[in-house]
Amino acid sequence: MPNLRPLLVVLALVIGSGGAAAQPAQSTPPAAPAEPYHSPMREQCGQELRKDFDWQANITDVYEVVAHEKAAAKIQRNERHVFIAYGVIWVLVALFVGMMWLRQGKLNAEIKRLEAELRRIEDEDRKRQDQAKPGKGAGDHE
Amino acid sequence: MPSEAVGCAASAARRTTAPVSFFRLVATVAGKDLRVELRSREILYTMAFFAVTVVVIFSFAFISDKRVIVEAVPGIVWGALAFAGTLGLGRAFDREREGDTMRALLLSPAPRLAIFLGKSLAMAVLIAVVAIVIAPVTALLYNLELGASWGPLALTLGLGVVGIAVVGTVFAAMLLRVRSRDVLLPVVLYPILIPLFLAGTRATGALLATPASTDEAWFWIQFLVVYDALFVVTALWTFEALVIE
Amino acid sequence: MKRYLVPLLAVLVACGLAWSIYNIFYVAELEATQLYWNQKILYFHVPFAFMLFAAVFACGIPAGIYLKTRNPRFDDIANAAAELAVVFGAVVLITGSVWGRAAWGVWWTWEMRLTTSLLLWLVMVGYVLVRRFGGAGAERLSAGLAVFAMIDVPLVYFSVKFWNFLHPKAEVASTLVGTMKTTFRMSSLTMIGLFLLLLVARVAQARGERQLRELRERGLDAGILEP
Repeated sequence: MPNLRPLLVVLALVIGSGGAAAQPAQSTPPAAPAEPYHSPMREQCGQELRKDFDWQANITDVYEVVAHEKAAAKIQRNERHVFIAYGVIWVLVALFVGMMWLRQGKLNAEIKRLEAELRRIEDEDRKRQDQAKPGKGAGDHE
Repeated sequence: MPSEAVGCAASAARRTTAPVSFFRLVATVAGKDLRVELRSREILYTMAFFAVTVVVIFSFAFISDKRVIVEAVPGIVWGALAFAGTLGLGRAFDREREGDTMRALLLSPAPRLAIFLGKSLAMAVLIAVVAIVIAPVTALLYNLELGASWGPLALTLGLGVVGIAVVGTVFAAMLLRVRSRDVLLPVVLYPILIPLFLAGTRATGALLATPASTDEAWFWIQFLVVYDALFVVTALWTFEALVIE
Repeated sequence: MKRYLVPLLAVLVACGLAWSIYNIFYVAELEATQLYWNQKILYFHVPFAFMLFAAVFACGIPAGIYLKTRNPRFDDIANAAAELAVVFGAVVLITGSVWGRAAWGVWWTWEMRLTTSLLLWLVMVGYVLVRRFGGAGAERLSAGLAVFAMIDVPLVYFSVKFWNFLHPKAEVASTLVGTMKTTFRMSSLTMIGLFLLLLVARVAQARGERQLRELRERGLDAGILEP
């Protein structure tokens, strides 16, 4: 997942400055005092907002960024867990495959050892047979 | 002692010309074990004492506000039963192993199933005695009022004891000749027994609560019956293949 | 044909994995109610859980057959399946724990599925331990254990189900819709492939070990090999 944080910051700066520059008036102040402030102009502003499409677009632009940032924060808080989980899966499976590979190595070593023994025994057998055969070459002088 | 095992089974076979009834054989094997145990009472005393110690230790562990948490009582009782049972099971086949009489037992004309059932019956009796010892001790220590629910309680404990004895005997027989059997027995036994402990503690808790919820208790008692039946069948089915002389 | 089974499975599983991961992160929609990203864990966690149960049965049934017929090929399968069950079980427990931490805020809870998986895992670890430290004749012992474990599975399931301890239910797989469902199916198939791949490879290895051991013993018995 590409790191979107710098991109989001740049977008926020651009849109925020653009929105701040183009905006005529704030509908409600963002900061929350002890008791929530209900503006007496809500009804009127709402009607105006519905008529003025540019204004709607500006407001949407500004608060879109805020919404995105909130969602991104929530997602990023969970991200770590996902990566840990996936990492665990791969580590365990890799460990198992590694263990199987080691066992296979031992098996191969055992096979080689048995083959070497077998060859040794066959050589000994052949030498003994050569010795036992009368008048055949170098056997007499051994 | 070796002669006794052979003598018992052999005489049981000799006594009647007709084949000895299966249950007679089971009773003979169980009786032999119990009689031998009653002479020295070694396993019995140690199991019972260990169970009481466990109950006391656990009660220290679960103290809050200078009182023992009553909700912990079922867990304490069944935990003590589990540990004492494992102690006894580990030694279930000790005499056979030391006296080398396992082969004699298996060579006797008694079918192996009878031997197995006899052994688990003897084990069940031993663990039941432990349960009978710690039940009043627990009731005293925690000021429990049993009232009418002592019947279902006894039933619950009895079913649990049978389950532990049957499954434990199979595994103890399985591990007869294995080197690290003391460690392996709990390792293999406890995960299989967990549904039994679950049901037992829930039933006990339901019966000890005020007011006692007998419906829930009967559900768990039925569960215990199913558990016991299932594992007795499984044990009978696999015992032949598993035991090693 | 059999020689190419493992490489073929390996290629299929590799492709499946790549396709699954792509699907999980770029195609499946974000689950928007409360889990967001965490839900992505489940695309692997749930199939691994299925595989754990499959491995337990793949261990128990051949173990039972081995006890009855003494055919060592079934013991090979049981052995391999038990080791796989340990690995998959560990994966399921750890990923489930991580998911639970993110979703419910706790590392562990005595919820039905988690508890059942834990107990199954414990029994399979017991199987591996008995095999390792049981000495001679350990195959039969562990086979017996596996049979008992398999009978135990439904009992554990039902006992924990009716035990109902606190917790929030995690009804997951049945409620997936749309792209999430297809992605889930994709990753399930991949995990089945992975399970089969590892099982086939491990069974072949176990069989090879056993045959070598038998050959060596025959050589020792015949006196041509020196111990």
